Amino acid sequence: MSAGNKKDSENDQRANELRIANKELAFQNSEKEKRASELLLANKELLYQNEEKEKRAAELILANKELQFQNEEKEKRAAELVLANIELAFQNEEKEKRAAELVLLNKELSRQKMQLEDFCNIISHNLRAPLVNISMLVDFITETDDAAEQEELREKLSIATNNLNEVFNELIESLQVKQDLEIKSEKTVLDDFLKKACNGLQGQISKSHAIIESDFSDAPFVVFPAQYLTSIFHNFISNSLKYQHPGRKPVIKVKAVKKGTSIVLSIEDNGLGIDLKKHKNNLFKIRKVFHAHPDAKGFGLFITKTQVEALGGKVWLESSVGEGSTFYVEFVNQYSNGKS
Amino acid sequence: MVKVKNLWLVDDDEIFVFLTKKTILKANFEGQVTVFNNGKEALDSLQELIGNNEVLPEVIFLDLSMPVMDGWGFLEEFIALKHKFKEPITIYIVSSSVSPHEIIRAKEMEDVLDFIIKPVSREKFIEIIQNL
Repeated sequence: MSAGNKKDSENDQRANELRIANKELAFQNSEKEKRASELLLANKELLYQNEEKEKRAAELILANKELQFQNEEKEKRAAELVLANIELAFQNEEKEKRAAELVLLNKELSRQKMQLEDFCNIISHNLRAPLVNISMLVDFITETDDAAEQEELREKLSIATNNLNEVFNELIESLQVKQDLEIKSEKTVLDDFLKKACNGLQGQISKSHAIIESDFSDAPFVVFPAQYLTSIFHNFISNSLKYQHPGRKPVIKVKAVKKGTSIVLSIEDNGLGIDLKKHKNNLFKIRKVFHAHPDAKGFGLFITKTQVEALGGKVWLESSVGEGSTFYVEFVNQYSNGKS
Repeated sequence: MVKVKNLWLVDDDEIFVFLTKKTILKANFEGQVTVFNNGKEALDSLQELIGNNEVLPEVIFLDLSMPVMDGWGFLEEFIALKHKFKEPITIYIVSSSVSPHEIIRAKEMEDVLDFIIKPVSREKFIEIIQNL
């Protein structure tokens, strides 16, 4: 082979190679273009997805803001509810207070109603009865010409008039208690008042040979209106003397003991006793008497009860028929802390 | 018309009893008047008469305010005894009370024929006796 030929074949080979290489390049190029267009597509897709995500993110931000707002609103509402709840609790307390006040007022009204009924009874039974007698007696005296009969009627008229007078005075005394609500309490020595009451009842005490014992060692004083204390001792002692047991010498034990901030005075006797079951509702009522006794008028205990209750205290009684009675009087607010 | 032979007066007021007996006498009442000073005395007597199968009163004039046992207490016991009476007993409340509460309470009781506010005049007494 000639050099020229060799060179030609080399050139051909080279051209072939180049062609192949060119084809290869063209192929690669087309592949790259394909790839580029794919990437372009993928890129578009990504861009789209990105936009979607941004949109979604913006939506989420909005939703978040909305939730935050709602949350704030709820907190506000909760705070309002707390306030409203406090207000309701306050109103509830006020209503309970008011209800308690009404209960108290109601009690006071019932008490006053009872007092009014008491007074209606006083007027009916205690004032009207002697008045009726007096007017009847006057009629009878006018009607008759018989001197002896007139004299008898006149004697009765005098009794009836005295009776009316007595009832009237007792009534005035009990009415005064109700007006004397401003009466001043003072420190009073119990023993002095017991002695005073006993002196006033000396006649009855010596007649019945009554023994009166006292023990004021626990509580020698009470803070109470002296005037009422006199009447309390007098009424209880005379009550015990009046209803003494016919079979034994009266023994009356008077005692005062501390009880919290109160002092409880007790007057114990060994007299007839009262059937508490039967007379439960009538104790201390005006003119209620439980014994057929000539002096029984039933005013004393009523007055005592009124006097003690006017100052916030209490009066009660324990008794058994045939054995005796014990009357109790509680004087309230005697000590500020249980000590004098 | 029932002829009243036995009339009971249950009242603790001596003067009122004295005057009412006088009134009854002046009204020419021919029956017997028996006085009891309180509800307990009248009740005891009533029980005794029932026990001895003796004659019971036809009419009772009953006061309300009395010691030991008052008129209300007597009425309560009276009602419990009622089934033992052979003849009915008429009860008049005779009281000085003008309390509407008591008057209504008494009039509501079927055993109480009437509530007479004291005093009992001769005319009223005659009317009562004649109306039986």
